[in-house]
Amino acid sequence: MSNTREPNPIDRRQLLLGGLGGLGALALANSAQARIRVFSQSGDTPPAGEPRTLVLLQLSGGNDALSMVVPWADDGYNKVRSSIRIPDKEVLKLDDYRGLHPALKQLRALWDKGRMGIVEGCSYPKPNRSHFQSMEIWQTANVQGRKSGDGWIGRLCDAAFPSGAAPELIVHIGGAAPYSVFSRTHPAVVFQTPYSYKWVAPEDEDRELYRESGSKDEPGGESKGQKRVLEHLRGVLNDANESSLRVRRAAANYVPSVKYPADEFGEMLKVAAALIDARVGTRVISVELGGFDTHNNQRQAHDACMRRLDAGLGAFLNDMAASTAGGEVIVVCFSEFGRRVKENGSRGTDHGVAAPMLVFGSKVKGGLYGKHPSLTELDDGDLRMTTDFRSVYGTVIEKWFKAEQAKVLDAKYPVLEFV
Amino acid sequence: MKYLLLFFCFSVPTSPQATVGWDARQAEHLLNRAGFGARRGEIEQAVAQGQAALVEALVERRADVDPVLIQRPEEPSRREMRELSADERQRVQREVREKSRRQLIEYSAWSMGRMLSSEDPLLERMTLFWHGVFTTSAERVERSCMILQQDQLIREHALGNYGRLLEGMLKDPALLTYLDNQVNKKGNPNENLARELLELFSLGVGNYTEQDIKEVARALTGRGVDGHGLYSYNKGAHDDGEKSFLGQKGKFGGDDVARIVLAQDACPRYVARRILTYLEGAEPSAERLDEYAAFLRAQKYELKPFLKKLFLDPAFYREEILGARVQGPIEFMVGMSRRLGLDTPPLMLAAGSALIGQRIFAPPNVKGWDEGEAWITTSSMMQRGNLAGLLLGVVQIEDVIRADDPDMEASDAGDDGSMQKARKPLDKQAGLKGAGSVAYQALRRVQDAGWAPTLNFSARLQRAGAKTDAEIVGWLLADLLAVPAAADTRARLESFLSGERVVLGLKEGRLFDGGFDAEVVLRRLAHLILSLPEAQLG
Repeated sequence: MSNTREPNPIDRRQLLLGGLGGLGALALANSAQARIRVFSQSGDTPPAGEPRTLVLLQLSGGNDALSMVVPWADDGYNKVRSSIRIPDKEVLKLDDYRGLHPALKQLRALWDKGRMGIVEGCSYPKPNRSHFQSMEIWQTANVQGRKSGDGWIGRLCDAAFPSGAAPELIVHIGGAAPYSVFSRTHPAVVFQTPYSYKWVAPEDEDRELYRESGSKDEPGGESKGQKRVLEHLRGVLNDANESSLRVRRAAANYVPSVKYPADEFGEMLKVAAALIDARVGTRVISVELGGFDTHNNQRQAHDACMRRLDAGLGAFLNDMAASTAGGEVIVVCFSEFGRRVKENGSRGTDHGVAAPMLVFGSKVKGGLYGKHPSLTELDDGDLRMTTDFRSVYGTVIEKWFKAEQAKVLDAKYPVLEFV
Repeated sequence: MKYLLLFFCFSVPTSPQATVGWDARQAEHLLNRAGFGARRGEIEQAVAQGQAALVEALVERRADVDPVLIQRPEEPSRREMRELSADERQRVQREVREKSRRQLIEYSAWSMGRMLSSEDPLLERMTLFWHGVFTTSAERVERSCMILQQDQLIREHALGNYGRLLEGMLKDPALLTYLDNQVNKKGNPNENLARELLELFSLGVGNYTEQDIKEVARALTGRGVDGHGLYSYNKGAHDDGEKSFLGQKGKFGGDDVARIVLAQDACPRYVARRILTYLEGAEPSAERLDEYAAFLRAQKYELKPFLKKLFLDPAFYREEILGARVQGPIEFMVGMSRRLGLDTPPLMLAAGSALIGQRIFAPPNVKGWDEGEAWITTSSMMQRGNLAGLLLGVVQIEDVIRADDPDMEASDAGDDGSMQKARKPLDKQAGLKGAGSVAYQALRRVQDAGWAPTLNFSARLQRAGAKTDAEIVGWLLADLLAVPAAADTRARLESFLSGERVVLGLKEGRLFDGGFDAEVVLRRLAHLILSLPEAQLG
């Protein structure tokens, strides 16, 4: 089995919270010996049963969802998309109204197997058309954006996994982490590729000392400001030290059951699969796919995005369906907004509002949720919201992770039936 | 101009003696924020020089540097292209692309080199800043001549006038291309530039409406780029009808957009906030922002008086912000090289910065780079340490990217012996995908070309008279870090050094008899120091 038997390292959050007095005191001792004792004390205890995982897929740039789930039979679509419409003979029809982009062949197969849900018309009241403002609202589930505190995944993990979680509880695979995973109590482990996720030094003594430089006993700093930053940085270094080997091992040991595409997105999802398979304690994995800001010559750019999405996500979901751990995975796919219904003058589309969210997984009840927005009754040229996106979050929080919505969201949103 | 002089008389003390409380800590802070990686000698000199003279020099003194000559692609005309066969046409296009790519690489190297040699550190610092405000990505602007031209525009105004910079940007081919304005035409407006102009380049969210965006977009129609990558105005594509935005009505064009935007109260406020936040590493308080916004407005967007006021303001040296800012990747790479006194190849600086999240001329999106703590992730923290190791010559690039690293196999066997050996990944190159791969390859090329650090810590320490383990650690910490290290860190490093010294069979104070072996130990020590959480601050 690829389940690692590495000893469970002390969790810095426990130390911070002072929950485990004994461990905390030991860790405060300054010698390497004391550290080793702490490390060998507790064995790795995988949680009972198969725990559940959320893969949050952010499509950045504002996905033109009308070109992803195409309302092929709607005159409202065909009339205003004269140069960029997807001809109905190419659409992979789901019913007599909508169909998938022609590149989404694997996702279409998942729809047929009942493992894909489409939640129609997702947005929020008083929509914002700025990429960054809108993205922050999606990432925090709050109109205040990051002023409201942690990202929604951070709050979800506070509610669902109160303490003692692995540093890899939340993982972002990619460059900079999206704000969704921002958490003060469960900082995300972030890496682009597992193989270089390590600190290299010529001698063991160096590595030993490097491990200790994340020690919390005396964070240092001359001023309050500096103390605060240093404490945070030491925490990051600790998490890095704790997770680096486990992550690399998981990736190296993993033998996927399908062939993943060789592009960056495919690689990221393969690593996500490896983490799930290795059961390192990761409960949320964040992945981003960019390139959706199609103001100009949309067909070419968006088609490429769809091909990449289908190749990567299709492989991942098929791979997951083949394993026990993978059976407990849900994928939620969103973008900061949809795009305007009417195309612009440069074969593209400008920023819009409502768009469907997609959910996938073996435990997902496939089908349509919510109501498709009208393509003719528009607000300022944009699709009207029919589902508050926080209903989807609320469903994941309540039904997938068995946590209370009230602890994560500002209100209780209607729970949907996709799980 | 008169105002400028007046301001100068009032606020600038006439002699170094007049500077109260100007010490090494403050001088280092200013040099780090206004430039890159202050070195020991520079700090000492800055203290002697006095605050006023230093600020004056930073803001006013320009290095004599010739602008780089821009090569514009000689693309065959459309008619000539038509006469070519499909194969030939592809070959010509490939050549043009390749030339363009090369030019960008050479120019990136030139820019990184400028930051490293820093004869004019504030200009380099502010040029980097404005690239994060008026973002344009070379990923989306294919012709590099436009990127070079934009950099030259930024350099011209980086310490000049924000208003002129904004006007220039609204005619800048790279920005017009990046934000699709070449297809913003009468009857078919494209809102991309208008929206980002108001949201990210001038006013900030909440200071305009969706309708303003639509109208500003109309006013910007017709501004585009010609076949040589130069600005061109297409009168036929311009919508000359009446527009109404930001409380004004008229048959506005692009110049009116700049004029009206600059007249908004929100504009100096937004610009002041961006500069203060960048240089101080923290959002200004409301009162402080009021003061600086009013000042910028009164100065008609002149940036030199603004920066002088800031650098002479005691609040710029307040406790909470001293050494409490995370260095960005470029700053980290350049600053580290400067503190080590290394002639790091500029391409290594560029590739290293890219690896930890900042590619010059390619911000991730139109909002630019997220500054501060966002730079540090679990992996970028480790990669920063690895880059320090590369610069010091104690780490080889292969060690960083190898998929089957010995570290992993050793611990697999070591834990309990029963663990099966790690299988090698199916695709060993898997770790080399995407943006990171280009950076790794560039780093490897530098290594293969035979670059190695010319360092001699032993000589340096001997010159400084640092003998005991505590003195050596103290001297290196002071030299390599911008902030003081914690006491426990210092103690651990001292015990590391004494342990390694014993391994070499040397008594305390005799390290310099250790020859090459001692130098290796000192480099490992420097590597550990530059991998510390403290090394991220500046």
